[in-house]
Amino acid sequence: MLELTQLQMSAGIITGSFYSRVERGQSKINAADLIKILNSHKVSLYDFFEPFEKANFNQKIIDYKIYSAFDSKNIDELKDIQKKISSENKAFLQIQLMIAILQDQVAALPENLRKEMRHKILQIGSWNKKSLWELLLTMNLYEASELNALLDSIFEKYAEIDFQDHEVLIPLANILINYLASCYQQNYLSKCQEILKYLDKLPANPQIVLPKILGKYYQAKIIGDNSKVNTIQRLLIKSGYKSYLRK
Amino acid sequence: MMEIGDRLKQLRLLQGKTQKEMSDGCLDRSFYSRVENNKNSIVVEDLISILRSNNISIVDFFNSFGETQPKNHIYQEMIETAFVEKNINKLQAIQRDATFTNQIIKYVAELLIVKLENRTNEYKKLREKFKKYIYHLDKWDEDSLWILAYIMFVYDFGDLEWVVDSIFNKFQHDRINDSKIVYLLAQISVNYLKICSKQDKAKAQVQKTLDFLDDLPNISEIALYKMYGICCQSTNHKKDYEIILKESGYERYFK
Repeated sequence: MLELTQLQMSAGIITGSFYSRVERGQSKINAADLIKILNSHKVSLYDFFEPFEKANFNQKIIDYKIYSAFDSKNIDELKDIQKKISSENKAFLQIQLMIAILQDQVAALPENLRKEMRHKILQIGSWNKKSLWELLLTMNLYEASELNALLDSIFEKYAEIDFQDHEVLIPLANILINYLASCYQQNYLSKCQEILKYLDKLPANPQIVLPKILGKYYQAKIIGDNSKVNTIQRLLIKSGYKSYLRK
Repeated sequence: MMEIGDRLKQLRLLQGKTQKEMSDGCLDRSFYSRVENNKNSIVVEDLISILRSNNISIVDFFNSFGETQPKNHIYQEMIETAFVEKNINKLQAIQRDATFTNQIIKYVAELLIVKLENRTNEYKKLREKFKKYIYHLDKWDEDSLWILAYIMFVYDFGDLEWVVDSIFNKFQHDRINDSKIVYLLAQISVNYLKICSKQDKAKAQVQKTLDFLDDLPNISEIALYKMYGICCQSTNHKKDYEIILKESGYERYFK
């Protein structure tokens, strides 16, 4: 990938012929020399060693993996990750809540656990990818009035949010669609229109096609365009995303 | 400066283990002791086996020895965004960035610049570089699938057919758990469908690709690609589906 000859790659740290034997698996290189070689070519040690990792222990990677498993509704993967981490890890509580959400069991969680989740999971300083994911997770635990206040604070800061980062975009689009669904159920239609405007402002990235289309779905429902409602339903069912219609 | 032995010792003491417990099953205790004292060097294979058997993250181990943030991934995302925005300056900046040395990813940036500037006569030169890279690959992983997804449009159809077939065969029977890999496979499938639609005799390839896409797990990240597959197959509702996707802002995927 670096387009170097074996001799250039060995960077004067080991001989070219020894390096060549290492590449072919005939000789073994010692760790200190390998690091010197990688550093001299500015190769990230993460990129080099990550494929050898038995499991991912790094907190950032755990967070990324659980959010992406949650977004994919992959309960098995969440359970796998939960087994590997300690119950002290905040991710443990998050996974518990994720599984409850995916199984539609949030209402059945005991009140003290719900309270612990509210207090420990969402810690807002500013709206960034972390706090947005945390809100997406906990939004079912809040009363309507609390939720309105939280969403208003997002809308106030909307212009400052970095839409380029799809790790920001995914939770944000999903928060909007959940909020939209709940406002629609309460027949709070003026709010629905407002949310749809915010949803429209998000760039059309492939990762948020479902929230985007669900936006069109609610819009069609509000204006009573049944043929469009049916088309969207059919498209989601045919492509395997029926579960997103249940909201 | 910290050496390998110092780091091993530090982590061993953190776990409250003896040298024997730490090296058990991997290395002879007296040799291990000399490694900790930096009197002997340890080969990479042995180091990795010690770290694995003591549940130590390999990446964390190397924390104090150099850059341990993922780099390829960040540059890949920068290239994707710049390409969507048709931002040639940003692509050129990535190409020139001396702190990033992954040449093949830089070639992807170059190819996309060439594409945006419509200099199709330069495809051939770059195509040879990518062919060589793919020819020498020993496995399909995140990095190599990402590269293929972005460069496949310059491949000759005959060669591409062979490459895509090898990917379909490799991933067909695995239950793929990694959502990043699933995403890239879906992206490659849709790109391939678009390429096939310009060929005369690719009916069998199209069907094979649609089946492969259909078998990928229904994770939300690939919904757009799944829907694209449904649009290709539908006769009665194709137009209606496309209208919905266009209204939602995904027009450029249907060109």
